[in-house]
Amino acid sequence: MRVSVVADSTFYSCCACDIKRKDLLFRFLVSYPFYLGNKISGELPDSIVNDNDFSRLVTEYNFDYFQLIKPFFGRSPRHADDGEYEAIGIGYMLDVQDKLRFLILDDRRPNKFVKKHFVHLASSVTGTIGFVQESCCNDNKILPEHALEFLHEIKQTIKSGGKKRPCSLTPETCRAILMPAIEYIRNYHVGA
Amino acid sequence: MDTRSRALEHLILLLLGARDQKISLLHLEKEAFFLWNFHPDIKKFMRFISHYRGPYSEEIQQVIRNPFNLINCWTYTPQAWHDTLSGGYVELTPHGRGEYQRLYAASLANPQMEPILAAMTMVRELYDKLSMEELLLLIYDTYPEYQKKSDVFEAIRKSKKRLAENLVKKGYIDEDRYEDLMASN
Repeated sequence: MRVSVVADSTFYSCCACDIKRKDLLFRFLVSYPFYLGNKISGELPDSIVNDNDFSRLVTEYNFDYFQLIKPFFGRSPRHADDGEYEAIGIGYMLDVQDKLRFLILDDRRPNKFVKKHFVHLASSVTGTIGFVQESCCNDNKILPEHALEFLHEIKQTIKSGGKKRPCSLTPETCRAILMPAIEYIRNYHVGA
Repeated sequence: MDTRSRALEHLILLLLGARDQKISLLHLEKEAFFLWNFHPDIKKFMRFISHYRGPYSEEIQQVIRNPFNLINCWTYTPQAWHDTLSGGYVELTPHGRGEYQRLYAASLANPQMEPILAAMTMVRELYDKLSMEELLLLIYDTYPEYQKKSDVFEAIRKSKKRLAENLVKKGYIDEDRYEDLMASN
């Protein structure tokens, strides 16, 4: 059954650091089985990795997935510990097992890489905003008020300028992605 | 020794069967190399040394040409006289396809094999589509410690710009990687 989620560290950091709403993160963690590896968890703040509930709710797969795709990115050590390549590897594995629902990649480079090389994964690839929208409107896993709360928190963080790029969003991408998602969720549930 | 060679033959059969098409020995060996780097268990069954076509495994060369346990599972066609890159081609036989399916089903029951099976599918999907020259360009650049200067190496080096541009055109690498390739010696 395709219910599993793999997210790059940006998603977790967005919840815990950018908008400072760990409670909203846990709403997602109890709604889907989440998978990660030690490179992703190595990029997470202590407040998440040291949380026993977090450890209980996520499943770890620890292999060096970057080695499988390294020639496409080169030998520069700056990539070797990047969590997004680990997310791609775990996502691929779960897809082969017919378990993958979402692969959340907010950064452009890994997102484009997956869509180009693994066409069968393309429909599962999304960003944090897309994931929130889909989990609310398509999967009905998250209540609309929680989804909207999450997105409004991001909007506020961008407005306040407290974080440079919360969830990898700039004011431009906020207008292009975040605002339409808020609108979509509002209308979807009014229509329903 | 026999258990080790048997396990290696099984790994090769699983890698060959991961995609239903023949494969050059060059591609097979390099894809096995990526798996060797990926999973600690695979390190037990083969070694890689530097060679004029990048990482080279004597164990793989032997298993493909003279399998001891899995007889008639694949055919090996040596490279033609004008072909300096492929190392020949390997293809599963109908008997080998059946053996692969049996072994794949048995391996699925072993949770330790799950990441290896998925990784095999991944490397076949990623690298089979590259031409031999494109594959060697990426290999030479990524693993300089496994390269030996040779005519093949020089020919790839001379064609670097054209090959890298083709990779960008096909969308296989991005501009960052292109710049990276062009900057390296």
